[in-house]
Amino acid sequence: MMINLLATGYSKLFRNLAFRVCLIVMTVIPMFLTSVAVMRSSPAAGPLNGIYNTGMMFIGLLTGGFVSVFISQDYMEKTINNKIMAGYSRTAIYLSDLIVTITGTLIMQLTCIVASSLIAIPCRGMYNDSFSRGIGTQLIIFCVISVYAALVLLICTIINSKSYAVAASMIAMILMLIAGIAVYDMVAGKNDAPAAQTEITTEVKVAEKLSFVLPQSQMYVVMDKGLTAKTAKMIGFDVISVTVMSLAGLLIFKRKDIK
Amino acid sequence: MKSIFRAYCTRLFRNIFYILGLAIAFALTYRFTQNGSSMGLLHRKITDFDYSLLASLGIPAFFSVFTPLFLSAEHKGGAFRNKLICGKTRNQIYFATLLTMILAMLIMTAVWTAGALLAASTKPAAEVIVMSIIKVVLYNTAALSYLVYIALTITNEAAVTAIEFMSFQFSFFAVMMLQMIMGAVSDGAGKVMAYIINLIPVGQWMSISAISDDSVHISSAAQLGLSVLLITLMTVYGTHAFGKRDLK
Repeated sequence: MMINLLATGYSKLFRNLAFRVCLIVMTVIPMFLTSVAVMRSSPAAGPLNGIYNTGMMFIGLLTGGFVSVFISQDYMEKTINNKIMAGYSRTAIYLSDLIVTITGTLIMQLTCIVASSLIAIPCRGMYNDSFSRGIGTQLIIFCVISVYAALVLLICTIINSKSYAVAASMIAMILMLIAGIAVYDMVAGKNDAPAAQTEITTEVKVAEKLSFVLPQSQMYVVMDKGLTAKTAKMIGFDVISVTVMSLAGLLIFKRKDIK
Repeated sequence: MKSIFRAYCTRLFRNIFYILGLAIAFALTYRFTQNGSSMGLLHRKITDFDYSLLASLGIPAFFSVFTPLFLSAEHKGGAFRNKLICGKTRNQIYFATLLTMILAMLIMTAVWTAGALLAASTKPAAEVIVMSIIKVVLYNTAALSYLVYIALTITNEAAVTAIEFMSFQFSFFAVMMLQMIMGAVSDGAGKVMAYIINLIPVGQWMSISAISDDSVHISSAAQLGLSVLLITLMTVYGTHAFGKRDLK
């Protein structure tokens, strides 16, 4: 049963205008930023390691926009109603929506990698950072994307008015982005300061803990330090977040009065 | 047009989201102006009022969310069609909507000004303050004419909200990209880029709020002219597109 829902979901995904626009954005901006990085660095500096992750600055915002518009369309066109009348379970509908939207955002990240590499590799050579670092970074980005998609799906399930749902999703994404960057800056600032000048306040301790919890700062931590013992904890926390948010969304969706 | 405008105003002043926005605008401007110097955001700060100009970004940010939410209610239940049946023309509906949003923005600008002047202990000369307010009003009107154009010509309310919110975020990014390009081109091309940056409302905010370097600065008359040009273009194109739209 769920295979049918996934098939229609994917078919809808590739025809969705919001998704196509997001793909264009994820192609143009990384290409531009990579070109700037190529122009500003000397050829002797070697490959532009990590440039393929430039999309992580705005992947949250794009996820907020794309997922909320994609899901809202189902409600506004009454497709959800038709799926229920066709005999699909609400669990299958919710999970298929989650899988399709996570795949959509993953395709956006892949587009970003390809777009940046198309300029970076011919101009500055193949990346030479370790394979495990590259895989670890992509794994954490995948986890973060999943958290964002699950959160937006939850918001769209809770809020009935679709324009409010889109606005709430995007504001939530912006707040998470700002919080993640602020926490990471605070921790990075502490690490950069000389040891004698560093005072470990409660604020810094909390920021350190939060940097492993907030999705955006998780990405920066892995980009900066590579794979550490904390990476497993971050992934574990992301998995728990996605599970909890999906279960909460499912519970609400099962009781929701769909007109 | 007066009756539509009055109806919109009644809805506006009852909107809890808008009232809350005004309160937050005052509180944020006051706090930002008073404590801005401790944040070390500006490189060439002269008076406390410079921090108020920095806080003025909250006005276009608020309207990029509020405009689609306020106007999306019009799409539901055939409000536009009802207005047409009552004998109102499409132009009257369009201009009444635009004027209501401009009024909402003017009230918010007044609140921002009050917060700024009450909190700033060091202020520039009166003519600088007046000129800054005129610029803020004009570039926000330009931003609103774009937002109203999008809200009245696209029927998918979810898409309108996403487009308007993202327009604000990505115009920020566009301005930064243009600044990066400016650094790599000649002086003549750089001047053209400075005009393009000032055509974007967020770019004009960046230019007047002392957060950017001098390269994006153009004369005040040119800034006002660019805002008026954008308002005219958006309104002409908007009324034309709204006139052709299929209203349900």
